[in-house]
Amino acid sequence: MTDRIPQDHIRNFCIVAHIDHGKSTLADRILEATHAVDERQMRAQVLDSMDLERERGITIKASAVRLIYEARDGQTYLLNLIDTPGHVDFGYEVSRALHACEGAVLLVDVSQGVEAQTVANVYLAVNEGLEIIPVVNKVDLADFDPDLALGEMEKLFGFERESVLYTSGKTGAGVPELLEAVIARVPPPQGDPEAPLRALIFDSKFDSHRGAYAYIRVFEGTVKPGDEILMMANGRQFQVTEVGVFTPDMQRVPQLAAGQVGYLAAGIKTVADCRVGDTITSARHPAAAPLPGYREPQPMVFCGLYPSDNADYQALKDALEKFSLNDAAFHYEPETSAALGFGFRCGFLGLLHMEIVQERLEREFDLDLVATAPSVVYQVLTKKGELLEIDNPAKFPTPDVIAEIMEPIVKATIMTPQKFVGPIMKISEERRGIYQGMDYLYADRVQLNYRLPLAEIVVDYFDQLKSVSRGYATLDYELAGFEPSDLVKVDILINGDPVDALAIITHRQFAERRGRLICSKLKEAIPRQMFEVRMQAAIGGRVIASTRNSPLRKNVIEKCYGGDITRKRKLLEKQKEGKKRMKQVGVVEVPQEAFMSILRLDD
Amino acid sequence: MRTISLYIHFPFCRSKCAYCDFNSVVADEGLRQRYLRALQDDITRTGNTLTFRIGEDEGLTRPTASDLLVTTIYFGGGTPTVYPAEELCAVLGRVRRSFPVIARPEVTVEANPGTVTAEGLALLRETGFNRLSLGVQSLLDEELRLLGRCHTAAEARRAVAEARAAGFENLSLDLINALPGQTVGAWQATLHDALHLQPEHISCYGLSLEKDTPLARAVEAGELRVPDEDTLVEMYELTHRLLTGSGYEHYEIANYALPGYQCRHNVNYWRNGEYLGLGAGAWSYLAGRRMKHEPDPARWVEKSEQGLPTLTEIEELDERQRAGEAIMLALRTAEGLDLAELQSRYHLDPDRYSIRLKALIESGLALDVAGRLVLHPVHGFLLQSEIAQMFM
Repeated sequence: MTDRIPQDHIRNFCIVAHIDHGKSTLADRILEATHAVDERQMRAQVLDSMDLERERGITIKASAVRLIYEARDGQTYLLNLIDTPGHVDFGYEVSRALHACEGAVLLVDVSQGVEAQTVANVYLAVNEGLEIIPVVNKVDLADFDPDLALGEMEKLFGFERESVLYTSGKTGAGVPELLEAVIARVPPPQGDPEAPLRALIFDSKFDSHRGAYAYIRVFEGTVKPGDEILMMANGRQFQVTEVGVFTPDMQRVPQLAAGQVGYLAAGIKTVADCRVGDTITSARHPAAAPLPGYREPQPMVFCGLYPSDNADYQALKDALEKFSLNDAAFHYEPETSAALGFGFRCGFLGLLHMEIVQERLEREFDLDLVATAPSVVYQVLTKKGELLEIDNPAKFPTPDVIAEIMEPIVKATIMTPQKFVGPIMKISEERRGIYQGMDYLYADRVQLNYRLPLAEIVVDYFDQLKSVSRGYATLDYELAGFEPSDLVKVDILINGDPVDALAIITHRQFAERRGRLICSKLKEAIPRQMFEVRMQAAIGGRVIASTRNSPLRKNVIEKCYGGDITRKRKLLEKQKEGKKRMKQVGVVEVPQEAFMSILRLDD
Repeated sequence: MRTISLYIHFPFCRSKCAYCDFNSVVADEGLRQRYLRALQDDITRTGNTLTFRIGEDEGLTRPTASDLLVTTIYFGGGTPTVYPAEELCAVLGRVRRSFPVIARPEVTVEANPGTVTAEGLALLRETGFNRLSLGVQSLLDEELRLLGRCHTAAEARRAVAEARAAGFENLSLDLINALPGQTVGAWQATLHDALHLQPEHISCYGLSLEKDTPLARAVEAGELRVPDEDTLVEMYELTHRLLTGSGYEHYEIANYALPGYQCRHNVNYWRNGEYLGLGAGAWSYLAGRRMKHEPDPARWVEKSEQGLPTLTEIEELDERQRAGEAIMLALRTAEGLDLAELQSRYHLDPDRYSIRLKALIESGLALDVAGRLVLHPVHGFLLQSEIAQMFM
C-alpha cells in the first residue's frame, strides 16, 4: 500500500501546540477520520502510549502514525503525523521531529492564545523551512472568541486571519478541512530514492526482545532488510532486520524510500547507538555528508539517586542500565555519598525530565528512591589553572583553591498577560535575573526576556512564575553560556555531622536566608525520634542557622497479650513502613522528602 | 513435651465501660446460657480430639495428647464473673477433664469488683482458681464514673478483702492512668491506695482512646483533654518509682509483681510460647499459626451449635513475622532480647542496626546485660515501639 503511493502524494507533518491545548485529542480525531484506529480500539490519547503520559496529559516521547486519506480530489494520500514532545526540557527532540516534516499544524487554544513555548517551537519550525498551518482549537466552547488567538498569530507570526482554520478536538469539527489543508498547503517531500541513503533518526524506542528501534524519516535513497547501515555520528554499523510503518501499531513493510516515515530495526542493543538527530546511511555507499543539526544531548540538571535501602543498589543499577537503553538523553554514573551510601549522579535535560525519570524508575522497576535536590553544573577554575566541572555540591572544592566559579546562564522568554508583568519582574530579579527587554504582542499580552542563572530556575522559578501569574505565564529557555558568579557552598549538619547530600551551592547574597530556610524545612521534614536531632547550616565551618527537634519520649503499646500480638506486630510494621523511605544519617532517620524539601525554598 | 497456656473468653459484661472497645457485650440471659453450653462442648471436643475445625481440613493443629500439657489456665473477658461462680467452676471442671493439666497450674480468673460476692469468691478458690485479677482501674470514684465503671472505690476495697478472706493469695489489680483530665497527683493517689491493699501483682495501663467509644467522642468534641506527653512520661516514671520502691519487680512494660508472683500465663505470651484460646474472639498460637475465633458472641454460638468451624482468621507466620513478634515481645520484658539470637535464630544482619544499637546503649535507653538487650524500665520501655521497629 505504502509503496504504491507516489512520493508527491506523501505529506509529512506535525502538530505544534502548548501542553494542554488539545494536541493529543485532536490527533485522536484525525486518526478516527482516517480510520487508522477503529472506534473499538479508540482510547483517549492513542499516541501517548506511556501511562505516565496519559496521566500527565503530555507527550514525553515522540511517536508517529501513518494515515491513508482519501482526499476530496478523489486521490489517495499518505499522511505521516509525527507527534512531538511538548515541553521545554525536550527542545532538541522537538527540533528533530520538526526536521522530519515538511509542514506543521500550529494549534492554539482559542481561550489561551499563544504560549511562550509554542512561539519557540514555531520559530524552530520556520527555521526548518516548514509550511505552517495555523489552527484555532477548542471552538466547541459555547461562546468562543477567536480574537485573542487570531490577533496573536497575526502579530507574532504574520498569519492572515483568513488562513486560520478552526477545529474542535472534542467534536471532530473542522478535522476534514484540516486534512484537506495539509494536502493543499504542505509540500510533498523531495529527495531522490536512488541516491545514497540518508535517513534522520527523530526518535527511538527500546524493546527488550528486539533491541532498539530507530524512528526514521528517509530523506534520500531507500532502506530495506538486509542492508548494511552506518550511523554517521557514532560510526557504528548494523544490518537492517526489519523496516516498517506505524499504523499506529508497528507494521512491517518491504522497504522505506525517500520521503517516507517509519521505523527500522537492526539488532541495535541500546538507544545510545541510534541517537536522535543522527543520520543513517548505507555502509556500502555512504552519503557524502550527514543531515544537518546533530547534537549530543546535553544534561542541564543533575541529582543523586540512591536506593532507600542500600541493599537495593544492584537493583537500581540494573534499572538505570535498562532505563538508559531507552533514553539517550539520560546520563548516570556511580557516586558515593557518606549520608546516602552508594548511588548514582544522574543528568537530565531539565526538571520535568528528572521528575519523569524518577517516577518511571519507581513505578516500572518497583524501587524506593531517595533523590537529592537538583543541581546544575558549575565550572570552577582553580588557582592552579584547572577547569573543573562540578555537578554535585558535595564535590565542590574548598574556597582556598578556587580562583573563579562560573555558572550556567539561560536566555529565558516569558509570555504573560500584561497585568502579571510586575510580579514576574519581581520574582525574576529576586532570582538574579537580568532584564533584557519586553515585546508587546497582541491585546494585553507581552513577552519578557531575561537572562537568568539556570540554578535559580532549578530552585523554584517555574513554580513561582506559575504562582504569581495564576498559571497564565509560560516559560521557555535556552542555555546562553557560563558566567562568573559569587557562589558559596552551604553545608547542612545533622547532629554536628555535615550531610553531603544536603549541601547546596548558592549565591553569596542568598546563603544565609537559604541556610535558615533549609533548617526550618528540615525541622518539619524530620520527625521527632528517639534521639535529639540538631540541624545546622554552615558556610566554611561558620554556623549561620540552627534548629533542633527534641527527642520523642513515648511511643509504646502498653497492653499486649495473646489476642493482640498479631495486631500489635502489624501496628509496628505499619509504623515501620512509614519509615521505609527514610535514610539513616548517623542515628537520625531522615525521610526522603527532607532531601527534596530543600528544593522548595519559598518562604 | 509441649507446654501450652489455655485461654477461655467470656465476652459478656454487666455494662459497657466508656472506654471499652474490647470484645464484650451486654447480653440477655438466654444468649449467655447458650454461650456457656457451646463453650463447654467446644472444650470437650477440642480437648478430646486436639484438633481445630477450620472448614474442610479438620487437622490443622494436631498436637498429640501424650506430648501436650496445659500449664496455665486463664478465664478472661469481658467479665467472666457475670456468670455465677458455680458455672465458672463447672467450666474449669470441664477443662480439667478434657485436657492434660500439670499438677499445679496457674488458674486465673478476671473479675469486676462489682460482680463478686464473698461466697462466690470462696467457691472459685475452693474449686481451683488460684489467681484473681481484679479490674479496679482507679480508686477515685470520680475517675470510675468518668470511665463508666459499674463499681465504686469502696466496692473495689471490699472485693479485695473478700478475695483475701476467700483464700486468694495471688491477687492482681488492674489500674488505668492517662485519663482525660487526670493529674499526676490523682494517679499517685490511686497508686498509693492500691499499694495499701498489698496485692501480689499490679498491671498499669495508659488509657488508649479507641475510636467510637464514648470517652473518645468526648475528647474529640473538646469536652475532655488528655494529658500531654510530658505528663504521661511523669506518670509512668512515678509508677515505676513507687512500685519498685515497694518491692515490686517491673517485669514487663505494664506489669509489676512481688518476687515469685509474675503472671505465668502472660509471661508465656511474651516469651512467644504457644497457647490455645477458646470462645468467641479468642486467639490461639500453635505450630507457627495465629488463629482467631469468630468474635461476635451470637454468631460464634450459632456456628458452634451447628457444628460449623468457628475460626475466622488463620495467619501462617513467615520467618520474618515470627522474628518480628519474638523480638517485639522480648523487648517488652525485663528479661530483654538475646542479641546473639538476632543472627543465629532470626538471621538478621547485625551491621544493619549496630550504630543505633550503640546509640541506644550510650543514651541509656537500653542496657546490654550479658548479651541481652534490656530496655531502660522507664525511658526505654516508653519507646518500646520505636526500638522494636529497628529490628523489624
